[in-house]
Amino acid sequence: MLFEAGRMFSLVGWPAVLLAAWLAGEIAHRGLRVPRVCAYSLAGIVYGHWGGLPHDGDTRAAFTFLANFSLGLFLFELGHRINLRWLVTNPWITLSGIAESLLTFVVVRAIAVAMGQPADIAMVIAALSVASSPAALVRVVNDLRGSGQVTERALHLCAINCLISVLLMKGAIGYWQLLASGSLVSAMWNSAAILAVSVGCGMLVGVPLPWLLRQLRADERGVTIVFALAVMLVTVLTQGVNVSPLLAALTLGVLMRRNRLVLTPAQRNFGVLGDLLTVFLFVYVAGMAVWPTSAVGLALAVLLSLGRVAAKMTATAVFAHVSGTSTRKGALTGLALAPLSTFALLLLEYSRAAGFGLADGALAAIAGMVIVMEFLGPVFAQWALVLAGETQRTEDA
Amino acid sequence: MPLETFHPSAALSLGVELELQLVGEHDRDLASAADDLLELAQRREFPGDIKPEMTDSMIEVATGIHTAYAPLHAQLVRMRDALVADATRLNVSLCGGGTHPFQQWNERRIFSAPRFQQLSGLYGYLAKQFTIFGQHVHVGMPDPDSALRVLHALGRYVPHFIALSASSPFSQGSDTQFDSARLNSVFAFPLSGRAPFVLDWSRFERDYFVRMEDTGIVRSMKDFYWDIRPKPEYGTIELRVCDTPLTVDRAAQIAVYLQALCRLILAGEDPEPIEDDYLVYTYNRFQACRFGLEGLIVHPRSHATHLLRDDIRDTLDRLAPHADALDCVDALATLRELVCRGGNDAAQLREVHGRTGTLLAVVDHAVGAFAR
Repeated sequence: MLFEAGRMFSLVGWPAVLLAAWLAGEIAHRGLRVPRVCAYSLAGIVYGHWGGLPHDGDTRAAFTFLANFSLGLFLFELGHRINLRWLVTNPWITLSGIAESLLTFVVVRAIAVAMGQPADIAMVIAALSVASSPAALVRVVNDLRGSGQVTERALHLCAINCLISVLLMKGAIGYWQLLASGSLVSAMWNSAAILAVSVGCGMLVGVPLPWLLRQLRADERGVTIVFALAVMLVTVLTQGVNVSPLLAALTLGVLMRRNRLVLTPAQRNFGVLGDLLTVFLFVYVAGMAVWPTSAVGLALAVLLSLGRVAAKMTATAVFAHVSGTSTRKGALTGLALAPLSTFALLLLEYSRAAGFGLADGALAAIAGMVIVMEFLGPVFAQWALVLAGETQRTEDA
Repeated sequence: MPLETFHPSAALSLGVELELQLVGEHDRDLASAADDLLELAQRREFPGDIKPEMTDSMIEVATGIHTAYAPLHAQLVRMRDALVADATRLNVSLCGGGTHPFQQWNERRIFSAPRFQQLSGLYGYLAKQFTIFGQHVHVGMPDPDSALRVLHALGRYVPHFIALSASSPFSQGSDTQFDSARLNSVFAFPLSGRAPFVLDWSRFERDYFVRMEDTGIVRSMKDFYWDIRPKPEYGTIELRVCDTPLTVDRAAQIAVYLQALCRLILAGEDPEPIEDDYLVYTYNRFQACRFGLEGLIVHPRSHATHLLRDDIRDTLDRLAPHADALDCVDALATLRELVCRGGNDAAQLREVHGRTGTLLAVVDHAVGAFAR
């Protein structure tokens, strides 16, 4: 009975925290001109610190599902903004994405090793640092109604660096499994097959969907609901076969776009549903973060964050002119990529569940960076869009 | 600032300005890309003039001065190709059309330049509602009095140009039932409409412009948003009622239609303009905006009612010798084909919407038509 009451309390606490987080987000956005998601993360960190996260397995699984679904919506939205043809007609965009990812990997790994991290953990940290947060970036872009080259490039590079991050992570896991089990087959399965199955799940839902929507001649709200349900379907599907729900959602978004089925401007962010789930996602993910326990941990966090952002800005600035924009806008694109991926955390959570031994060490080591970048990342992204003049002017906000 | 001296230019020389839409690749909404596109255009020898417009999802291009259809058309094609190539590098698309079918005016951003910011301050939301896209055609005039005479004689033909170029049936997400909804936005401006009926340049300057200037309302001819206005510094009259057509071909055809009409008027083949011609002006203009080629206009002298389609066809027949002289027989033949058998761009866009049920497909169609 007592146990039930405790569980009840922790569950009832959630809506209250979400409401507080939402209110804080509005104050941050309107009063302080800070991205809403920063306030959501703050609420999550405080609540998580108090031990508010669910502890029992069932609730935790439900929350993870909801988080994956919410993040899936963001990845879908990111995917549906990705123009694969652009990446071919202007290959410099693709190249700058690859260069930016690899430079980030190299720089972060070097800093981690220099700060005394073991080589294998440094590799995991570096792989996670490559990814920018699709959720934070899409949310900041939508909040500010961002439109222009920095916005466009940041979104495309975000998709590229998430993909490369997953590849690097899977590589790291594969390598670790090879060391742990000595089985090359097991290592290969994790590196390649998971990717293929994830994309396959996205296609399984994404290929028949356009046909269905055309038959229905669905209006814009109808399309949005069908999209949301499709994302939920791939989330369930991928969790069932233990592959990445996020890659599947990204694939789904890309497929919809290729079929000229998109969210209309009025339905950006999946409307109110998206707003609600965003609050949950950021509070939940931030709740999982842990504070660095030492001064060295804090120093590591600051250095890793600086190195990561500097690497991204350098690479995008170098490729700016040749890819058709100014060096300034190139550098700002790198700055907009600052939000650290929340999906890095979910990826690690997932890997931990899958028995990845390095996960705990890596999570502890990047805890500081996660906290620093959870606040500063969206702020940097907002600065980048404002400095590039790609937001709605303040008098209209 | 006094009215600029009228610099006579080569009679019937032509120049075309086109305001173009910049639309995003992913959702086909208007995209803020003007300064990025300008930056790329500056890196190369852009085959024409290019400049920003009121909001940062618009770009204006202008040709040089031409005397015939072929070189005018060739320059428009070169400009179009250069723009499309640059836009592709930036992941945006370009298209014609007088309005964007579903953009929300309150999401637009005023281009960051002092003149536009000042106009935005004066006109408030009208400035953002002015996210509309027109074609302006300049025709050179031998002297200022001829300019005024041709300007007023053209009044009767203004509905022709509206109907032929109409490409703005959709606005803010709905079918407006108009073929040219764009002009409804222009009429909201206090200094829109028609020029005052004065046929003598010195009187125009003394009795109208100077007195208006004294009121403090205007500082230059730029402040008048008339359907046709004189442009003394170029020595031209400028027709401003056309929507930007979906293709540069149509833009060039419309330009030479105006050129041929001016030649006809200068040759004295039309009766001298009188102020009473304007009695039917706004009604006829409305008919053209609302119904396009199916509009019913009232002849200013005979007061007979004509279908616009027929009136344009008859006018094209009268223009035959002038088309010969101006080397634009084929271009006007294409227009004749259009009024006899086809529909204007607005009809085309409505057809796409009817077939697909989405405004996204309408913009896709416009993007495809422009690049073709």
